[in-house]
Amino acid sequence: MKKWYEKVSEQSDIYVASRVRLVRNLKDYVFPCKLSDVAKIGLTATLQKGCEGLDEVTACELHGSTFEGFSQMQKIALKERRIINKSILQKEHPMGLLVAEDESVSMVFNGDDHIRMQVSMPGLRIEDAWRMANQIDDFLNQKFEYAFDERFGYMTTFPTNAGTGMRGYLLLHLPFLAANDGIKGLAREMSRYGLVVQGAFGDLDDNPGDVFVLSNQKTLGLSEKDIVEVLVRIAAHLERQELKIRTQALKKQSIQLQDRIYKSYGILKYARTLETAEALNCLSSIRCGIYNGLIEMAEPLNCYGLMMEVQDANLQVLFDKPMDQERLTQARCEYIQKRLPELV
Amino acid sequence: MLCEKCQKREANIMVTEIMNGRKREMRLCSQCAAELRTGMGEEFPLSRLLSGILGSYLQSDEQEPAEAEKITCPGCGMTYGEFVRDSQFGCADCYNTFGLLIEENLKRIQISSRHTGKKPKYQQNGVSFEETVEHVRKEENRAEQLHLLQARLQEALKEEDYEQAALLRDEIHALKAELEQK
Repeated sequence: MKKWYEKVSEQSDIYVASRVRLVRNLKDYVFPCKLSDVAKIGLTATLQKGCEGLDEVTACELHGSTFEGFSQMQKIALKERRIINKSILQKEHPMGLLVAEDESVSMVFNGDDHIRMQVSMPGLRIEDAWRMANQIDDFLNQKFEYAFDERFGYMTTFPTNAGTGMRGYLLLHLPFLAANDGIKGLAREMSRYGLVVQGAFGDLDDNPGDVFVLSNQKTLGLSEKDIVEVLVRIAAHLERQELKIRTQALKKQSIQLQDRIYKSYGILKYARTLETAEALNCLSSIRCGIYNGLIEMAEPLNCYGLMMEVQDANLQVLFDKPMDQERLTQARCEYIQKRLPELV
Repeated sequence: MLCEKCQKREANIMVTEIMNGRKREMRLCSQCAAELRTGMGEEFPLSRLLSGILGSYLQSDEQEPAEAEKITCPGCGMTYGEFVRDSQFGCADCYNTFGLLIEENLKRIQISSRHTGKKPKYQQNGVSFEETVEHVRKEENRAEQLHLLQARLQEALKEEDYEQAALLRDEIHALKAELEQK
């Protein structure tokens, strides 16, 4: 089965992906930070059992597991694919995981909160992602009573998640804004709307791949619908800025642009070693070329999917063996070259 | 010297934080310092920065810091000092225990201190939320009723249902008068 991020035709020029994350806690249990390990194991099993039948909502089979059987490498790979976050990666206590076959839906039990559910979709589909998360939430709520308060909303471990417990994310490919350093100025503006922009594969100063993540910082005092709306509105603003610079560049520097795109293709096709950053930057140039009709390939190329897959831990999981840095740079070439279509 | 937070990059910024009236210095790299400032290391809690904000109660109040720090949540045993240090609640009761202490500060890190979004559809083994609200209304807990009515009023105003808002306003006035008499 194709993973959600492999559905490349559903991505668009600027909009790479949409994601919604909700956190919930049960009324009758103390939060994971105060729950004993034995109780965590028990509650995880109860929650996982409670998810039986959830595949009818998600329309995709779900697989449950605990983190015990995972190597550190597998856990890092999960973080690289954004199924878990940094905080969960660093935890060593018992936790549960439930992942849909296409990875579009994932849940972590007893991480920072009792339930952390996440829905990812390709392209600009944050509203759909929220709708799905909402349905999953109702399904679970029918079986488990939540810790909820009229004033504070859903009671979460961190005060920064209280209220809706929701974080919405839009992944945007903005190579021109990144090149002109315009993103930093815009990032400062974002905080006025309660939003934050971060690099998907780095920080704002150095973000190979030029994919940026726009997300809401505030969760209390605005509704889920408000969060979706402000994200979509501000993303459209970023899109306009990106297109403005791009139109200029296409007019004035078309040859230089094509030169960079074809050189990137050449590097990916013939290199013998590739560092992550170099691979990501080449993929970014090619992605930009594809959507602007500057390069044509025999088959569609999933640039964002490759960006995630050629990260260190993911490559080692895909090749099913631990590798040192030198071997990784070679494996990265092999992996990309197998998937890079011919030019037409 | 390496950054105290990531332990990877070279530290080049000194961040001074005043918490509970004590000064504390941290040597950080520019990236971690920026994360600390925006409060977003991915989903990393606002952590120390937040500790500073939440802890301001401890400084501003005339009460001895040691006294406030001793306030303990009956639900999970978390102390206020612990809560400020880790910036995390230990259970749902913590919200009631520490809620009043942090309500103002919560507004500073959030849009407001009052929830306006989704409410659970089902409470108490499949009983709908509306029924639970009715239950609370019937109970003698006047303070909780007041909160509920105020939340309702906000909702009505937001939806521009002024007729309903007027009814709620009267109800709130009546309840407040009743509370003051006691």
